This record gives sequence, C-alpha cells and structure tokens, in this order.
Amino acid sequence: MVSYVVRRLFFLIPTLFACVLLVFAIMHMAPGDPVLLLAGPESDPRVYEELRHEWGLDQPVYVQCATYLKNLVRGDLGTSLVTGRPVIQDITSYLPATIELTLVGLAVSIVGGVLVGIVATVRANTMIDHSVRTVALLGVATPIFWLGLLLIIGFHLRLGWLPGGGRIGIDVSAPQQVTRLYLLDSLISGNWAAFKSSFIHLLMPAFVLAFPQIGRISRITRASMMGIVGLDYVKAGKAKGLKESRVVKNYILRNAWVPILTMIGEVAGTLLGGAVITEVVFSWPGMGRYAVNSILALDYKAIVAFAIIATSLYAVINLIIDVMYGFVDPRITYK
Amino acid sequence: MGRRSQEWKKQLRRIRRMPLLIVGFVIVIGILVLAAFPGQIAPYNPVKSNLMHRLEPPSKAHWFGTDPLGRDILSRVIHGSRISVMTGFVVVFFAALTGSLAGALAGYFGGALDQFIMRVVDVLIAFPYLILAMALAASLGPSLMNTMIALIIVWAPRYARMMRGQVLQTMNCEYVESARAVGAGRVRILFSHVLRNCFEPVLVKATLDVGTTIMYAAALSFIGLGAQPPSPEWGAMVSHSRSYILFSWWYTTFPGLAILLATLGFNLIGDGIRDLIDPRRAKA
Repeated sequence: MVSYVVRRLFFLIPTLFACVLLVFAIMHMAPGDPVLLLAGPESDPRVYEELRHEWGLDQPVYVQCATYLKNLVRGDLGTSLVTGRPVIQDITSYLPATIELTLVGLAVSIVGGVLVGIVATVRANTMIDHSVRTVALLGVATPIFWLGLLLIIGFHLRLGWLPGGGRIGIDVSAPQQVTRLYLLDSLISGNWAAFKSSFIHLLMPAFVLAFPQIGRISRITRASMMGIVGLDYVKAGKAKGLKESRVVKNYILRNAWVPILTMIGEVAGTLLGGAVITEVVFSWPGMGRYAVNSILALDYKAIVAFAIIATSLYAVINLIIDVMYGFVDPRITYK
Repeated sequence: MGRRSQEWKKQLRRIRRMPLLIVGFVIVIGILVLAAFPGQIAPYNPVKSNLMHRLEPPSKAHWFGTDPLGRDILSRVIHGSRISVMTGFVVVFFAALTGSLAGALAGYFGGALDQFIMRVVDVLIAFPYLILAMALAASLGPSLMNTMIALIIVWAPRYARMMRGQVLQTMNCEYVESARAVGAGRVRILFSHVLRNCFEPVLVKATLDVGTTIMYAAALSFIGLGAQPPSPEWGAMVSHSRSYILFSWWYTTFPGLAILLATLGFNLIGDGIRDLIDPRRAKA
C-alpha cells in the first residue's frame, strides 16, 4: 500500500513538469502583452523596454521556461506582476482561504448528498423521493454565479441577514494564525466573535459551492443503493427481523460506497473550478480569485504557480479516493 | 417494414412513460425556436440603447424589464439563446470529433502513438477544467470564438479517453478477429467494424455534455472572457448585472434563469436518451 502511494506521488513530478510546459506554451500564444498592461499604452518606449528586461520577458519563451524550472527546483516561484510580491507570499496568504472554502463545501456536499440519497432510497417512489430528484436535477443545471448573486440579493440586500462577501467582518479581527483556516483558528484561540463572523461569512459561499454537488452525490447514492436493495442478502437481512436502520447501514450502504466514492472524486475536482467562480462572486480572498486576476492580467508566474498547485491538489485528491477504495471494499488490493 | 414501425411504436411507448424527457424536449424545442428566429420573436431591438428607459422593472411593455442602457432584457435574452445554443453544439461536436478520433487512433494502433496521445490527455485532464479554459481563452484573447476553441480543447481529452477504452474493448471481440482472419486490411477493420460499435457511448456522452457546455460557456463569459459587449450573451449579462444589484433584481434574474432552463432542458434530453439507449442504467 505504501509503495503504491509513493509510486503515485512520484508520477506527479512528470505531470507537473508537463503542466509548467503547457502553461508556458499557452501563455506564449497570448496576443496580449502583460508589460503593456503594466506600463500603460502611452508609456515611454525606454520604460517599456526596461520593464520587459526587468521581468525577463525579453527572453525567448524556452529560455523563460528553463529559467523558471531552474528556480522552481530551488523553491523560488518568482514575483507576481500584479501584486509585486513573491508568488510564494501570495500563495501563503490566499491559499488557506480557498482550502477552507473548498473543504467546507466538500464536507457539506458529501454529508448532504449522502444523507439526501439515503432518504430518497428509503422512501423510494414517494413524494419525498420525487422532490429530491427534482431538486437534484435543478441543482446540476444551476449556474453557481447566478445562484450566488441571487442569494446575495435576497439574504444580504433585501433581508440583511447575511454578509455580502469577504471572509470575516471588518469589525472583527482575524483569529490568531495557526492553520490560517479561520474556523479552526478561532476555535483554537477561543475567539468566539471571530468564529461567529467567519461562520456566517462561510454560509452562502459554501452552500452555493455545494448545491450542485449535493444533487450529483445524492443521485449516485440513490442509484447505487437501489441497485443493492433488491439483492438476496438484503432480503435475508429484512427477513431475519433486523431493524430497518441496521439493514440500511450495514447491508445496503456498506456495499454502495464504491460508485459514491468515484463521484466524490469527480465532485472534488469540480469544486476546485467552482471555488474560482464562488470566490469571484463573494469577493472571497482566495487562490481562485487570485487566479482569475492573474489570468486576466497575463501574470505568467502567478498563473503557472496556480496551475502547479491546482494540479497537485487534484492529483492528491484522486490518490486519496483511490486509497479509500481499498478501505471501503476489502476485495480491492494494491500491490 | 412492419417490424420497423413496431420498433418505433415500442420506443414511443417507453418515451411516453418518461415525463422528464418530454419536459426536456419541450424546453429544448422552445429554445431552438427562439435561437432560430430571434428577430421575429423578440419585441425590441437587442442592441439599440434607449436611455429614456434605463433599468426599469418588469412591466407590460418590458416583460423582463430593461437594462442600464434601456434595452429590453427579454429581447436580449431571446437573441442570446442563439449564442448559447450554437456554442453548445459547436463545442461538443468538435470536441467529440477530435477527441474520439485521437482516442480511436491511440487505442487501435497502440505503441508510441498511444503513449504520446494518452500522456497529453492525462495532463489536460489533470487540470481543473475552468482554469485551463480560462487560461486558453485569456491567452487567445477574449472573444466568443476563442472561448469555443478553449472549451473544445478542454472537453476533447475526455472523449479521447472514453473512445480509447471502447476501442480496446472492441478489439478483443471475435468479429474483429474473424475479420482479420478473412484478410481485411487494418483500416477497413477500423472503420467498418470497430468504430461502428464504439460510437454509441460517445453519442450518449455528447448529448449529455451539451447542457454542461452551455453552462461553462456562460461561466467563462461571466468572468469576462467569451462574447464581448454589446453581444447579448447570458453569462455576460449576469456579470454586468453585478454592478447594479443594489438597483435591480431583474437584470440578474432573467438571463441566469435562461441559462438554467437551457442547461436543464439539454440535460433532461441527454438523460432520457441515455436511459433509452442503455436500459441497464435506467433509473431504478
């Protein structure tokens, strides 16, 4: 098992390498010129040339790429065109926000999706089942930027119940930094005000992120469980006189996990993209919004750094899912 | 001839028992009609601004209200349907075409070609789709055409992977072996035998993907890539409405609702077609 994990992590390296090459190739195609954006169209041509040289953008692409890789190995991710700070600094300040949002969104998706799927199975073909499936269908088709904006209009502008953006209220100071995840940190340092503020700021973004995914997970949970419900050992369990909850938990759900896990993996991948849009809508100070700004400004170094992180996260998530298969179904082994 | 029409009747009876498919069908037909004849159906000009009627709430004259430039939102939404529908079909068609071709070649000929194609596919799939689409669209320059190209590049690898798997499965079948034994050339086997039996799941996936593509294209336009003003693209309208959410709810609501309906309609049809073609996966 350990050797399997190590092997998978090892394969990440050529993937990341290809990733860097790919991003450089894509950015090279850009008809836009980041230095022009930086210097302004009316600038002195000497200033323009100076800026180009300063940012190393007067070198041919493959030289830029090689330099980047050389620095990458030493741990230097370059400096951002947009913020002027080292990219690593940008990452450490923005990444935790995205991780917190994505983790909470993922948790809500999984818990909500599985629970709803179980309810739909147990009450199959009733009104509850039909309404659950309808909501799931709607959820998958809903554009999350629209949903987010509607919720802001409703709950923030009209009702004033929830904040319209940001991670924490401006009247509250951020909790002491331990993990940089505000919910955890405020609990650790006992900062109740920060916890409350972070919590209500998370409510809408996490819901918007999770809503389509709850639909997907509940559908696959229901489908998977329904495939098992008719099987002989379930009938045997019911005939034995076991409580329904026990049959559902130990006989049906236990064997239904594999397709659900696959879907969770897909959901996690989708969440990485969905987080970008959610962060833009809710002005969430995370990597997603940073990535959008960097892409629109053609900030090469920031974009490549983001691509590396996103690809690594995605690969690690897939690896966790694959390992979980082994735990959920003891027949699956890894050499 | 009698058996053929019997087959159709059987399918029609199945379809009648699938209300969701019918709903999806109705929605999509409606949208296609709007996309085909926007000028005739829309009550107002979608691009001419009318500063006397800026940001008016929904009324009898303007069912969806007006936007900050005084343009009728209903007319803009109707004209926008053409953009979204076209994007959905074009992207899925070309992504399925190029992806399946690459996957089929990889699976059929194997060897170095297979390895090369699949490595490229792996890297492309390893990226979160939105980031790749954004980077491509941004680097090519914000426009509808470039967004379509970006989406095609993002979608195609998934078709390649699927097709390759299908081809590999089919190649082990007996009829391929027997064709080879009879002396059929490799290309002939590829087209007449292998591909014929592989493209069904691709078709199913393609119909399922149209709805999602429409939503992704709207998302890219929301960020600022994609169709540019004054083009009445739905996602761009929702994005523009952000600056005005204090003053109007209708500018945000109606274009977004259109995206929802379009995606829903195509999703329902895709689901229905999949259930019809592959009865094993029909909803329990």
